Formats: sequence, C-alpha cells, structure tokens
Amino acid sequence: MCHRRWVPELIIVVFAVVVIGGMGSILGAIVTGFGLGVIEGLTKVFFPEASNTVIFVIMAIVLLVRPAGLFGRRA
Amino acid sequence: MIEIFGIPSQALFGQLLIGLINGSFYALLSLGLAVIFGMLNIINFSHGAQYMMGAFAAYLILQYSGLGYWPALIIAPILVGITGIISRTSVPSAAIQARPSLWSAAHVWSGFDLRGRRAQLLRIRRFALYGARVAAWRAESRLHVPSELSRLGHCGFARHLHRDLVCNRAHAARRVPARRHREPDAGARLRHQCAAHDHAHLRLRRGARRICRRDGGADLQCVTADGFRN
Repeated sequence: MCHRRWVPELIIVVFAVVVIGGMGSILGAIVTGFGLGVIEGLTKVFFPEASNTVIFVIMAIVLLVRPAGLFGRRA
Repeated sequence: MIEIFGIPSQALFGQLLIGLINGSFYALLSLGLAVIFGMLNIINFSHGAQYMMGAFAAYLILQYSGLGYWPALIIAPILVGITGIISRTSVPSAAIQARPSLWSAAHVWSGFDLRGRRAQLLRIRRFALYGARVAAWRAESRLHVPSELSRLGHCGFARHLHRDLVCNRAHAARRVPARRHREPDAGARLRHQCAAHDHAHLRLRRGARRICRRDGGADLQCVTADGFRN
C-alpha cells in the first residue's frame, strides 16, 4: 500500500474515476470509484497483466460513448 | 475447494475484497475532485496534499508524541484543519501584494468566502481567466474586486479572520450581495421581449407562462431575444 509510486498512480486513477463518473458528479464519483475498484480486483484475478490498464481502457470506451461521463450532464 | 471459473474461491473473494478497499479509496479521493469541480468548475488536486498532510501528521503524532492510535486519529484531522485555516488566511495577505493573480489560486486552494457565493464564483472564474491582467479585467467588469484585492493585500491575519468569520457571515445572513454583484449582462439576459407589444418583460423562470398586462391580462406568448418561448 505504501509504495513510493503509489500516490502519483492513485491521483491519476482518481482523475480517471472522476472523468468516467462525470466531472462534478458526486454520485458518479462514488459509484464509479467502487465499481472500478472491483473491476480492477477481478482483472487481477483473471488477467493480471491488464490490471493497470483496464481503468484507462474503460475510460476511453466511456468517453467514446458518453463524453460527459456516466453521470455527468452535458454543458 | 470450490472453484469459480477455474479460480479458487478464496483467491477470488480475496481479490474482490482488495478491489472494494481500493474502490473506497478511489471513491473517497474522487469525491474531493468532484465536489471542487462541481462548485468551481476548476480541476484542483490540492486535496491530495491535504490528504498527505493528514497521514504525515498522524505518523508524527504516533512516532514522537507518545500518544496512542485513537488520540492520533482525532488530533491529526484537527491539525490539518488548522493548517487549512492558516493557509486560507495567510496566503492572500502575504502573497497578493507580490502577485495579484495568486488571489484566485488562494481562493481555489482553500475554498471561498461565505459572502455571496454566486458573486464569489464569478470572481474566481474571472480571475482564473484573466490571471494577473487585473487592469484589463477591471476595465471590462464592474465588480469591485480591485478594491477587495487591495483590502485583502493589506489586512493581517486577525483582520482577515474577523472578516471571514464575522463580517461575511452577517453579510450572508442578510442575503444582500448576490444580486448586487451580478454581472451587468446578466440582467439583460433575464429580460425578454414581448412579440406582441415590443416591450421587455422580466422572465420569471424557464418554462413559465407570462401574462402581458398591456392586453388586459390576456395570456400571450413572449419571445426572448434568442428565440426562447415560454
């Protein structure tokens, strides 16, 4: 947990979580945070090599389908 | 041992638990980003620094003060809160005279005043846009930020704290400033033109029907300048 590289990686992942959930959406941040944590854990079980990239793949897919995020509103 | 998709159930559920723990971290940290972005429309990572300071304070208390885990758990957030208050009050007065654009950074960094939240948001957005070009911004806007800027620059810690805790709270209780600090253009946007009589109405709210009193109370449709009907 207390790895030296952990904090920068965490901030990047957290930003991805916010983008996926929708910028400014509190519900989106909570739901997406828990969801992506579980998806990351399951990826570590079934395909460990992709566990670091799965969040960003999901982010790319979500941004293609819904550019405002899952719970975000269009401006 | 039970296997699920060829994976031992213990390993699977163990990773699921770790995933939930990581997910709660993600949710907690992304909440900070989401709230700040929702209020200010500015992406701000400084809560990560506060998070780090909390952990560091807890470590120092545990290591050097001789207190136990639970006292450290209570004292560390209080210490970080005091640090936030000090940064909120000291950074503007110390740094703005040197560089006015820091005013926005300080406010974005440590939250914003109680007084007139909408007006405050407008100021923060303006400063985020214009940065140090206060003079150009002053020529364009009628908000009295330059005077506030000088006031902030000269006041000390106690005066600033008094302004935040006493004056602004009383000011907010009267609910005066939001309308006063509204942009000049905002009033014009709120008006819309009556198509029948060529005079302006104040729009009540989006989607509300407006009764034109010049026609004896007849229910007419009024059209905004940009074609919006209500």
